Formats: sequence, C-alpha cells, structure tokens
Amino acid sequence: MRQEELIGWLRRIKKLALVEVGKDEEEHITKDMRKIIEFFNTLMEINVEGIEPLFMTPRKEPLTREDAPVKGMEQSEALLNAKEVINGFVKGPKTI
Amino acid sequence: MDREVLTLSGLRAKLAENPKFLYEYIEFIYDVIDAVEGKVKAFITLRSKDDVLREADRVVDKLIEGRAGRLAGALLAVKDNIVTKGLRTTCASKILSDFIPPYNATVVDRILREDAIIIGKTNMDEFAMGSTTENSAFFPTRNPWDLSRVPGGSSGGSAAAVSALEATAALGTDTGGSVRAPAAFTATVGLKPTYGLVSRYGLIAYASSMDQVGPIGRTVTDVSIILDVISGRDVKDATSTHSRGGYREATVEPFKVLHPKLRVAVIEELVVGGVEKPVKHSFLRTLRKLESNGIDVIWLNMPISRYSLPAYYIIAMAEASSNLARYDGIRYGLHESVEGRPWYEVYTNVRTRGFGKEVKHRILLGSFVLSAGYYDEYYLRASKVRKIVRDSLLAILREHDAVISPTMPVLPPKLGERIADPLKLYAIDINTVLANLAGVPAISIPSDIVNDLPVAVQLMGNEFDEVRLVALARVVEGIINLAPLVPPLVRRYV
Amino acid sequence: MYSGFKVMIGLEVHAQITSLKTKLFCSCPSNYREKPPNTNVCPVCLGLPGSLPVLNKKAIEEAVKVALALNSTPSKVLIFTRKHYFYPDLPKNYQISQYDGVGSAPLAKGGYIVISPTRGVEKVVRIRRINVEEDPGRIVYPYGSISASPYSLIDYNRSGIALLEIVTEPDLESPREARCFIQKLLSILEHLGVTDPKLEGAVRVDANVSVGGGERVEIKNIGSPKDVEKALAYEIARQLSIIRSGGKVIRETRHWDKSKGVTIAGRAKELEEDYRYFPDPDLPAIPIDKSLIDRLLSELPELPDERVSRLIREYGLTRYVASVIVTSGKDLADFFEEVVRQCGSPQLVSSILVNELLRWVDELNVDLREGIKRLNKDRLCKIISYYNNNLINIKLLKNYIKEVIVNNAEPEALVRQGYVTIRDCRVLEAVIDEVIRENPKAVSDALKNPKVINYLVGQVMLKTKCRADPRITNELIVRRLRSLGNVS
Ligand SMILES: [Zn+2]
Repeated sequence: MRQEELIGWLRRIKKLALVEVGKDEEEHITKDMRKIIEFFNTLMEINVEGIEPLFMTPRKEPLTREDAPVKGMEQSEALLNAKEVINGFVKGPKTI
Repeated sequence: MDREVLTLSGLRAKLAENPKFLYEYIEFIYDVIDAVEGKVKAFITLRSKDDVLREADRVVDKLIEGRAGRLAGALLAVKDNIVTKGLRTTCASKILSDFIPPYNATVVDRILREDAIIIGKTNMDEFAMGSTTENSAFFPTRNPWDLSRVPGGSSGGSAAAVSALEATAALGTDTGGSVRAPAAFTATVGLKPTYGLVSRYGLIAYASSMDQVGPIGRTVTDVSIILDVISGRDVKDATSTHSRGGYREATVEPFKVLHPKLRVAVIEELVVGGVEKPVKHSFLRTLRKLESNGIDVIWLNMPISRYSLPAYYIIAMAEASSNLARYDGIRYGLHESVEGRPWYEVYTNVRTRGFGKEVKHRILLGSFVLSAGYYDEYYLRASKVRKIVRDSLLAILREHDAVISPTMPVLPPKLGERIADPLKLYAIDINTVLANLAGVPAISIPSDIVNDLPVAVQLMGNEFDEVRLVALARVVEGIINLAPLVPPLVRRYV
Repeated sequence: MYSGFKVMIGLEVHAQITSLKTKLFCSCPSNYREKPPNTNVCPVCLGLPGSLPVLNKKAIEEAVKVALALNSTPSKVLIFTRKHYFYPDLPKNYQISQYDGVGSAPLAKGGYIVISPTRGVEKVVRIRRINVEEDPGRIVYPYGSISASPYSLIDYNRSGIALLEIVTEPDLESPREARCFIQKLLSILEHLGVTDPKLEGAVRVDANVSVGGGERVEIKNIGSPKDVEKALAYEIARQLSIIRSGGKVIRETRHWDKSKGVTIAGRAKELEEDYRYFPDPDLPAIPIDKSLIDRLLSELPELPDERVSRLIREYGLTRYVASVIVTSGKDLADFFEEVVRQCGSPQLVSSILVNELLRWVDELNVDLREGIKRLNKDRLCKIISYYNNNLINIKLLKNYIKEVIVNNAEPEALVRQGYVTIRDCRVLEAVIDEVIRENPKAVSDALKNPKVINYLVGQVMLKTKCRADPRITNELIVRRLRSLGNVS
C-alpha cells in the first residue's frame, strides 16, 4: 500500500471507529500499519478456496434462555457510573 | 513461612488442621506485599488488610464448622478485566479508570461461593492487548525474577503477584496466550481452558471468540483446584458448556485417566524458526527427560501453523474493534460534558483521550479488516485459515496425548525491548495463539531456569479434555521436578 | 403511475415481538412502557462491560411463525450478526441483528403478501427478507425537537426488546398500496399473536421511494399505516415537483415530521457509513430444525386470508367488506363475529362497522380499539334490536352509532330522551301541517310532480331530527296532497 493510500484509509477508518490520532502521530502510525498489513498479507499465500470459515468453535449444545422475566437492576445501580443524570435519564450529547 | 503452605493445596491442608492459621497467613502475605509490591507493581487495586481480615473471620467460622468451600482461605488476585461488584475494574485503561461494576462476573461469584478472598485487582495490558504488561495505562508490572524485565502479559499482574508470593493464586484471562505467557515468564503454572469451559460473563471482552478465563497458580494441582470451581455451564454465557469436573483428582492420580504409554507430539514449526537458542536448548533437554521417563516424543509438521499468527491478529483486532465500540463515556467511564455538543464529537474526544496507543491501533486495524472491500480479503480469509488450523491441530491431538512446545520462544524481555516494534511484540505469541484459534486447552508449566530466568513448556490437549491435560501436566511437572519455584526477590520469606 | 411517472416503494417494517415476556437477549421484562426511565434494565441491555447476550428461546418460534405466515423460507440456522454504527440510543454502539452475507443469514428469505388496495383488485407484494434484531433505547429531547435540544435524555428501558424487521421488494406503487400492505401485515402479525400493533411504538416503518426511476429516498421512523400513506404522498409530491422544475432528486435519508405533515432532510452525511457486519461471536448459531418448522406450521392459527374466505362463506359478506374488516385489525374481525353471534344481522353489522365505525374512528382520530370499546357488543346489539323492532329507522341508527362513538352515549338513554322513530300519525300530521304551511311553492310543485314529495318528506325529517318514520310520513303527505288536489 502506498503512503497516500494508507493516509486515505486511515482518515476513513478514524471516522468509522471514532478515534483520532494526532497529526504528529500519523507518520508513525502509518509506518506501523504498513508493517502490520504486510504481515496480514502473508495470508494471501494460502489457497483457501472451498474452505468454510470458522468464526467460533462449534458448540454441541447452544445455550438459549427461557422466556421468564427477572427483575433487573435498581435505577441507582443502573446509573451508578453515569456522570450526568437528569430525572433518571442519562444525559447524552446532541444527536444531530 | 513454611514452603508447604505456599501452594493452594498445602494451604488447604494446613487450614483444615488449624483454621486460625488463616490470620497468620494473611499477615504473611501483607508483609510480603509491603516489602515487594512497590517494586513489582502487580496490583491496580489492592484491598486493605483490614477488609481482608474482616472477610477472613467469616471464612474461619466456616472452617471451624466444617462447611467451608473448596477455596476457603485462598487469597486470590483477580485480573482487572474481570468485573467485581463494587470493586473498581479498569481493564488498565484510562477510559474505565473509575468504573465500579454493579455486578460480579460468574467466575467471581463462583470463587466467592467457595470462600476465596479476593485480595486485589491486577495489572495488565490495556484491554488485554499486549504480551508484556507494559501497555497498562497506569504503570508497567515488573518480573519478580528480574525487575528490569517484563513479567509477560497480558495477565502480568496476576502472574507476578503469584510468583512474588503476594497471592495464593490468581485468575487471568487468555485470548492469545495472556495466561500462559506471564506464567512462563514468572515460573508459575497457567491454564487456558477449552473455549467455553469457563463462563465469560463479566470478563470484559477483547476478542470474544477466543477469550477465556484461566487460573494461575504455583502447581498443576493448584490450577486444577481452581478450574474445578470456575468451570461449567453458565446460563448467562451462551458459549459456555458443561464441565466434567474432577480436575484436581486427575492430578492426584494421573494414571487413573491416562494411558500408561504416553505419546506427545512436537510440531517442528513451533521449535525452529523464532525460538531463541537458550530456550530451544532447554526445551530439547526437557524432551530428553520426558523420553528417558518413558514418554514417546513424536516430531511432526503442521505447515499452516506459520500462518496462525496473522490469522489470530486479524480476528482478534476485528472483534476488539467491535467490543470496544461501547466505550463512549456516556453510561460509564471517562466522561466529557455533553451539553451543546454533537455526539460524534464527544465520542471521538473521549475515545481518543481514553484509549492508549496500542488499543487505538488495534481498533483502527480491526475496523479496517471488517470494512467494506476488505472483509473478504482479511477477516473472512483469516477465519478460513482458522478452520484449517483447528482441523490440523485436532487431527494431531486425536493421535497424541498432547502437543508440547516451548510456551514462549524467548526469555523474559527487558522492559521496552519488544514494545517499540509491533511485529516483534506479536512474534512472541507464536506458540500460544494456536490453542485460542483452535479453541483447545493449553497449560504452561515451568520447565527450567536459564540464566536465572524461568523457561516453560506448553502442553495443548484435546478440546474439553482438561482432565487428561492436567493429569499429563502433573506427570510432566513431576518428571521436571522444579515446582514450586520462588524468585530470589522473596526467597528470604520462605 | 403519477402523472406519467412510475413510483416504486419498498418498506422496512419494524415490529416488536410483543408476545414475549422478556427482551431478546436478557431476562428484563418486555413490558417497558410507562416505567420510570432506566428501571427496566440489566448489565446486558445497558451494554455494560463484560455482559453477554443469551437468546430468548421463544423468540425463535415467534419469528419462525411470522416467516411461515408470510410464505417466507426460514434459514436452516439462526445466526446473529453485529451491525456497527455509533448512536446515543445504542448502548454497545453495535446492534445485534442479522445479515444476508457470507457466514451470516437473515431469519428468512422470500415470501409475499397479497393485498387488495381497491375493490376487486389483488396485488402480490414480495418480501425480500425477515430479520430478528434488538431495539435500541429511547431518546427524549428536552426541548421538543432534535435540533432545538442542546442535549439528549436517554432511557434504556426499551433497549433489547425483540424486533422483527420485514423488508419488501420495491413492489408498491402508491401510498395507498403501502398503507394496505402494512395493514395487512399487521393483521397477520396480530392473528399470529406475535405483535400487538396497538401498543405505543410497537411498529415503526422506514419507507424507500423513488419516482420515475430516479434516486431512492428513505423516510425513517414513521409510526402508523396512516402516516406512511401521508408521508409517502408528501414525499412523492416533493420529488415530482423537483423533477418538473428540471431538478434531480438526491439519494438521502429524510424524517417524517408528523405534526407539520412534511418530510425533512436528515443530517448531512459527514460520517462514514459502513456497518462492518460480522457474526456475533457471543451467540452460537442455532439450528432451526425441520421438526420445529413442521410443528409451527401445524399450529398456525387462522390467518387473515383464510378468515376473509370464511367470513364470505359463513356470513355472506362481499370479499371487499370481509377484507376491510379483517385487515383493519384482528379486533374488528373478532368484534364482528361476536356481535353477529349474539344478534345476527351480519349484513347490517358489517355495514355498520365498515361504513360507520371506521369512518368515525378515522374522523375523530381515535384508536380503533377505543372505538370498539365505546361501541361495544351490548350497545351495538341493543341498537340493532331497536332497528329490527322499528323503534329507530336507518337514519336514527346511524345517528345512534355516531352518538355512541363520538359522545360515548348509552343507546338506552337516547331512547329515554325520546330519540326514536315517530310513528304516531297525529304527531306526524301536525308536523306535516307546518311543512305545508311553510312551503307553498313546493306543495304546488308536488301536485304537478310527485318527485317533489321527497323534498317535503325531507323537511319533515329535518323538523323531527330524522325521527319521523319515512314510510308513514310519505303516505301521510301523499294522502294530504291528494286532498289538497281535490280542493283545488
Ligand atoms: Zn436487560
């Protein structure tokens, strides 16, 4: 991947992941990223045609739950770690 | 302190005779902590001796009445990515630095039900992303065997605490070797169970399809005792499964469950390549010891294992980018005032300030491998490689009692030695990630001291066959005949 | 066709599985409505670190039932997928949903619903897929609108409620068809007992619409079938006016502002959209066995199409009337059958429900359920018996229905107030006298042209507030005119 290409996708991915990296860090990060992506690219050497992907090891007896209600947390517990609370609501940012 | 009582099984025997010995034991542990914790820095949150003594009263009563649980009196250190109700749980991240969980992880409920006492929450690489415990947002933990070296990671705090006699045993978590690596570097025993054997409910997720909670102790028997307690199906974790139990028993009489003629496989790719010379030579010596004790050692190849590391990192980062999306500072964690500010600005600021560098890198790369246009090339391809890895490894395990390898390809590195270059950091996970990709259990046991530094071997077993794995590990431990090892730093206490 | 332009509409209907007692992935009660904020939550639906989802077993059955009822093919395995986007109502900043891609699968693919948008017309609307997913939390805006509020208030009580997402192909060609489709769909869900569409917020619709092959515009979060019709009508008019003035419709997401009756542009796309779907590693795939499907098929209750056929067969209703009754909601169809069981007269009852009840409910803008509650079985049967016993005429009957629905009046009270047909000839003759006195011109016209008699009857009706028996009145007027004719 060329440097411009890397910077381009970094810009896009930062917006997807909502994570910023400083301008000063950018060069360092793209250097690391390039290395890591090249490391990832070694997988291109393998022929994976016809192989079923394995996303998680198979479970013999997948667990589900009965439809029986259980009282959850008290409001005070639910809001224990929220820093801004108004009348039992969590105060959130502007949504537009 | 008497060396016998340093192990969990020894402590249990002693307390059965004399319940009040618990007070003496607690005083001893806190004396050691007072002396070494300032150097080792294993804990993020250490509970006060008074609190622990108060809890001990209840345990002593139960011991006297003969109704104490299987972990009565054990002072367990719990990795700080396992939630503890009312006890700060940070994941060694700034973004969770003041998070007080309103609930307990299932493993925490299970150890408390068996009358363990939690002594504190241990340091780790932030969100378990690292192999050295240098990536903590707070401070690095040091190796009790050599304070200039790393203890391994990411459960470095848990392993260092056990190694430095600051805890009886510990809970760690293992996604790509995070229990086994620090166990190997600190001369303790670390077990990563089969994926699903131990509930993940309350384990703050890094890579959900590979994360497992695992015990760290001084002996194979100690980790087996804890496994007996923490394993088994949990209605709160859909990926959890039934546990056969009987792990401790299997270590007491290993040949009740093992075939008398043991066959262990050595995958050549895990021994050549990146393994440093002293480690390799030590490993070959260990193999010769096993052979001279009648164990067959079979060398074979598993070419796909060369690709397990990139496949592992792609999958782990993809899942991490998803699991870490929830940290936005609204419901918990690092916060910024929201008034008058659009959500994406608040979120971006909180996440940029709250996550450390390595975590940010993994989130970015994880988002990348899942993004439109790259999913097939990276995430999907890695998941197919994972399938090949699992099938190949299971095929080997069907024919052998275990796969043996050095746990870590290197001796404990100096602080700062690996962390600067990500690929050099990732490279030391080469032998541990296989078990996580395949979902099989693996245990690391101390095998040698080289240049005054611990070296360990790893045994990988068949899935859900921890009974035979710990039995075999006990046999190997007996042949090697080192445990339990005490680092020079704390030798004067025993 | 809209002035020569082809309109294509596709819908995404989100319907809560209200038959469940708990949320989709945790044991919190599903009944979140009217609870104080953040009192119906647990670590799972709050997305606390370390929490894990566990699937509600009954949700599988409910969802598969819906797939079968919509002629859709259920997947062989149930796979959940994470859909990533940040938003303050989404506690994990990803939604556990489903996806049609490698390693993932929607609950069901394909299927169709037959709608009857106008008398005698039937149309097949294809279903693309059905997903099961979790509902986000609820955002309240302290200053009314999104843009006026400097912050938001978040309540997670709804977070994690089980939702079905039913996506159609763009087969619908008018707002009316879209409304019909949703009504039919909701009636099916109601007959299945899966969704109670009357619960506030239980159904939300996103509508995609394009005009004349132009770009597709998505209108988000519309609350009712009626609003879907209105929002689409507005949006089509908006797009047409752009096209006519030579402009181009841009691809965008708009919001339906119910109070103003317009669609408004959503926020500009300054953020990337890429959902980064991948199978949720917390939720192992669950096989959907053929035996389960067979059992659910055999247990399916009577569905709207079968019910329409039965109403035609058993009660002699026309197809149109029967389908209006059934697609207006299961409650109405149940009400119809209950009333007829008690007091017969299916033709009269069906006509009252379709022509009077639905009209008043619509005009008053009240819930159909409220209308049925007011016009309950007892009241309606009483009114019908008054009519059958000639105590009231058809005009009074309609007025009774109106009074009962609009003013919640008791039919007996109306009778007590004397609001009944006047059949007493002396009373009627007195009124007729008055009418003849006041309308000399009409009277003389009537003598030449008998059709004008109806006008005089109408005047009597007016004076008696419809209470005059029309037949008797007519006879009396004719008799009277005849005598007048003799005099002159
Ligand atoms: Zn919940």
